[in-house]
Amino acid sequence: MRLASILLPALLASALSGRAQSADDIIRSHIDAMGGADRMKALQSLYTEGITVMPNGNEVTNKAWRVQGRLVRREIDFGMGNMKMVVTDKEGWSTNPRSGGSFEAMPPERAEAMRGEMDLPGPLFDYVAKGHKAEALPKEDVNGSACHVVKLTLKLGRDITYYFDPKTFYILRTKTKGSGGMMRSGGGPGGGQRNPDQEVLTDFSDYRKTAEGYVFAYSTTVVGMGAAMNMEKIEVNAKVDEKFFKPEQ
Amino acid sequence: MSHRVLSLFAAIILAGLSLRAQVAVNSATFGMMEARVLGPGSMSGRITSIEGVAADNGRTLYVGTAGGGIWKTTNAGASFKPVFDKYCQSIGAVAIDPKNPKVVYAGTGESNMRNSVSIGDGLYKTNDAGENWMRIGLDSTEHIAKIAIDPSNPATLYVAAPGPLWSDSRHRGLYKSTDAGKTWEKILYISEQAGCADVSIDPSNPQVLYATTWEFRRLPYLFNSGGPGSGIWKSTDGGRSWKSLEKGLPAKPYGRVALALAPSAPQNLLAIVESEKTGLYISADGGENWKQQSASLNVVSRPFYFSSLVVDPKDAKRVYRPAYSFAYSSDGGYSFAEAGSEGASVHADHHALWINPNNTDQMYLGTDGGVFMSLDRGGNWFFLQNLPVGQFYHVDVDRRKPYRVYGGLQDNGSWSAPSASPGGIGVGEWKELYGGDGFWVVPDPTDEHIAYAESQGGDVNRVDLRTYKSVSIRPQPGSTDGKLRWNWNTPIATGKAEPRHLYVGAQYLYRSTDQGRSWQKISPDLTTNDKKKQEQENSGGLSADVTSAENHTTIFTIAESPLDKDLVWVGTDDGNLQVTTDGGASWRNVAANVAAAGLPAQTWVSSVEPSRFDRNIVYATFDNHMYGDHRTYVARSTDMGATWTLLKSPEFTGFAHKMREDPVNRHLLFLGTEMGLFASIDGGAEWFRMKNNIPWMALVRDIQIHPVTHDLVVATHGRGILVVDDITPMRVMDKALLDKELHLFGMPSLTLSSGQFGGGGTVNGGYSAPNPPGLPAFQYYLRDRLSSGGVRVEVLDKDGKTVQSIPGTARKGLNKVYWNQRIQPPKTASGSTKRDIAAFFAPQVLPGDYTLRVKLVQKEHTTPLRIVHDPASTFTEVERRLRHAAAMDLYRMHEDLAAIVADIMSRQKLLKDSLAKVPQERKKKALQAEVDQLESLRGELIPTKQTSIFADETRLREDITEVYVAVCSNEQAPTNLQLERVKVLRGKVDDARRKLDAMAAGKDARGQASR
Repeated sequence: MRLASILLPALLASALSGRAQSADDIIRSHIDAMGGADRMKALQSLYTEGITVMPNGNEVTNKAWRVQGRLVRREIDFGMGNMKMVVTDKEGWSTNPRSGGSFEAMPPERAEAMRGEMDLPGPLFDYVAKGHKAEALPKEDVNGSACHVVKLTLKLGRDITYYFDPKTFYILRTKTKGSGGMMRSGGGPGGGQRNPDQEVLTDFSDYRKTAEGYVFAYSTTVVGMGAAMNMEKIEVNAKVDEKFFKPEQ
Repeated sequence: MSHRVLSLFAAIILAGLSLRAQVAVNSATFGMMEARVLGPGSMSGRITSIEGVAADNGRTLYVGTAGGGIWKTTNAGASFKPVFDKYCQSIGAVAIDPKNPKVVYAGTGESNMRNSVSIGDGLYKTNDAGENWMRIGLDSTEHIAKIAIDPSNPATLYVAAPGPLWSDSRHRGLYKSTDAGKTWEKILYISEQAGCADVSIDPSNPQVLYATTWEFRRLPYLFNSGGPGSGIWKSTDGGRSWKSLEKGLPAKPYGRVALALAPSAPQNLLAIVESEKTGLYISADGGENWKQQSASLNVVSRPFYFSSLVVDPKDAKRVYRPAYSFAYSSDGGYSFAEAGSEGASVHADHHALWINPNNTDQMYLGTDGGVFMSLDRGGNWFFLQNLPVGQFYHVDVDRRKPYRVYGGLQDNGSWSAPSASPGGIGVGEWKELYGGDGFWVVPDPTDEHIAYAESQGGDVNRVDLRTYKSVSIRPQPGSTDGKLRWNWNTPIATGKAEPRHLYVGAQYLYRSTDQGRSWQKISPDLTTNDKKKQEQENSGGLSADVTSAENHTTIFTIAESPLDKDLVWVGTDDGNLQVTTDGGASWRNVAANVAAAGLPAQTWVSSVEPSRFDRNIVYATFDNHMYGDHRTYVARSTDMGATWTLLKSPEFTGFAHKMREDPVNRHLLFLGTEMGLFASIDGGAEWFRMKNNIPWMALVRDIQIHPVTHDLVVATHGRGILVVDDITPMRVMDKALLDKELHLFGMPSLTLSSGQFGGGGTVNGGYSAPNPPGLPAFQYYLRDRLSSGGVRVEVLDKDGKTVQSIPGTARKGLNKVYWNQRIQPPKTASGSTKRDIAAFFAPQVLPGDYTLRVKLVQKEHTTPLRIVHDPASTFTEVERRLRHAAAMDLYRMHEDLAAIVADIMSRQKLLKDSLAKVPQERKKKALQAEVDQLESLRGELIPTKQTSIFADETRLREDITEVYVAVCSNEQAPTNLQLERVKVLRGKVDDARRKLDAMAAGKDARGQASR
């Protein structure tokens, strides 16, 4: 019977692993893999610094300060110019090369679109409380892995489809429709918004654990853009200077 | 618990563990080998359904196709994308929920019941506007003609299912769901021979329904439309009861009926009723009474194929008849006019029409040749050239560089296009060689200016590819031959062992050695010559339809062995598989031997593939769907047909069209069926479905493997030509390799190149296919995907020094990394307000021995890499070395300048630091003067003022870059003036260094003097 007591749970576990997982199961496993729910709750600020080498050789650096529920500040330097965006829970401003570097008020819709980034653990964490809906879809192959797939319908109506590595539960890919973010779509840097019907696939890789126990993707590639953004620095819960909340250089 | 049970548990778990340890080969293993969709967009394919979203004024449309799935546009047709690539590609009907346009239904299996029509596998639904689909039933209907949704209650919907074309079926009829597709009830059923072909809902009273039923059947050699099961029906209680509408209509039996209801005046109905006297009928009282109207031949012709009749959503008098041509009436059907041709000349044969209900001037028409759009109520049309859904029957390739593909399309003639072209393969690259329905188009292997093409029923021609002039070379019957029987899709083949051999087949096999100028009949009748199957003049049923589509007891496939010019295989459409080993002097029918392996009698032989490794080995595919049998039959004989083994796989779907053996690795096999492309790397023991940018259920009709580029070229009957570039990795993949954590594929040598083409610009207007990669890839295999850490791919010179280091991909399976064959770019002067492109530009390496290394976190693999000059290039190796020398001079110049500027800035920083510390005004001034002097020099070397890309500032760095980039890019030796310029620029760099040194020396001298 000792053998049975070993084999039976193993068999059951094996059988269970073959069962299709619910969206909740998958998201729970993902949150655990990224550091766990307690760490997600403890996220207060995030500073990231990344660099992208474009196919034409241009380097684009991207610095972002984000404070839970209060701030998204991005500073993007694309060599011959730069642009900055500051969005607080109440207002938003941006600069671009054509404004000569001075801050201008951001259209409210664009500021609102960026406020999603103030949710530092991301929309999957505690998604029910945030008013989002999750649905598990059939597994799909992404870069050779048969991924778990979850479609998250955000409270505001937009969909994000997540593809999770079946072993690590890290996100390997997201699929969205043009989000109206500060993506180039003709008219020069910062000159246009993404076509709202355009499908955007973003691949994530090179996951690493920080000293605080959080796991982040250090490499992000928008499929078709031909270049990855590689993180050079990630700081968790560092103090963010109050001047970053203001439309100042 | 007994020992037996415990043993069973142990066995199950061990089996599970051992299974987990094995690495399965599948499409994902070769995930980076994605198919290129070659098109064409110039000739599209048959469109079966078009539905638009009224709420967004017709910007969003779903287009259902005969064999290319569903395509969606959200910009009124400016661009399309496929949204149904994982499912059955034959679409019969599409319907959009009128209250929630994210809900869309798709019925698979088109209902334009021609000989080549495909089959469906049920009804699908999406709740998110085509992102994800689920099958919701009616799996066995095979063909769905219409989906109608109750406009007042979209949870109620009706599906008209004509049912199977080639067999009796209980699954025909009209189905109803009242819970948005969760459950179904069959509410109108006639017989196993007659299904439901149409359904309409009265929008003013959704309890009122109209339906038509249709009795029809195809046999491989005969078509019948019409019978006692055909009729027109009305229900006033949502389908619970029905009455036959007959008053004023012609005498029964009917065939297919095209029925239309005027949405703005639903009592007004029109019907084109196929009968002994097919005619147009009109009712003004909800079908209770009908009156015949005179109608032109176009309006009433070929009812089985043209079943569309549409009334304008707002104007009950405006009636459209999309049929052989496009006719419209402005008086309720009393008279019809034809569309003009001042815009596009509308392709013949129409099956779908969608009218924007908010702007009824705007409409989309689905034809056998794609989608057309009108903005003047059908008077004139634009052709949308961006839907690559062509329906090829066959494909072939030549040996040109880049090679050309050749193929014939259903109702769209015979075409050719290059496999690559500057800027991409746009619609203008496709050239039509011959008209009619196209099938085999075979380039002459002995003469690159000649190809053989045909139209239906054996109309074989020799085409001069320089002029596109054609000459009919169809063999004629001798005095004792009787009438020649040519298949609709008559085979043309050239010799694989003797390339001068040209073959065509009727019931006899003909061979020519002079491009069809003379023929020898080299066989007796190779078919069963069953007279019962030769009465095609009676085909059609109520309406005669004799187009050669039902020609039978004919030769369908011909293959000469690559190893023996006298060994020829012939397959017929009535089940004979014949072989000659003496060039046609004698023949042996091996059909009974295949039957002994389990193949049903009289099964159509769809292809034969004699092995190029062993003359005794032959593969054949068989297609029995015309007797209602959809199973995949593929067989192999290793004893020249004496015995056969059926190759089987749980992966297989669809009846088989083509088997292709790889010309290099005898164990690598490809199979094309009506529902997928499959590959095996172990000689057919196990198979996987190829999915990488290939619709999972693609209708694959033919497969070629290019002998030089090693490309897999696939003819689909609905998605045009697909090309998987260079399948070499599939040839070397075996079980042992699959188990390796990392495998780096070597390459015999790497030929230096700056790509296949120059710019070429963007091809604008219509579908444009991408080119293959201009440079070969480094390829490696990873057993598992890396989730942390990266992959580096490095090229080392003979001294082990890194020439270039590239980030690699980390996907499971095959990875490809492209190297531009250049060294690391130079370090250029920084501190400017302007970026310098030279920092991203580098000289190409020289020929020689290198090492290729792939590095993972804790593992690396190396292989020798021999880099060679291309001897075929007009750019000589001497010129290459001259270019390299000049480029490296300029490269070093950039690095020297970078060092000078760095020195300047470093000195400036020191001076500025001192400036802040010294209190004396005189010293401050002196220090500031030195800073300014250095800044002045810096301003000569790099741009320091530019703030906008539109205010270009050019300094020494830019001067060097201009020559550097030109020299690096040009495939020629540097010009005399470029070389002179190199010297001038070198002088300027050296001057700058001297100036800086002098400033430093002066400062030092002043420093010493002041001390």
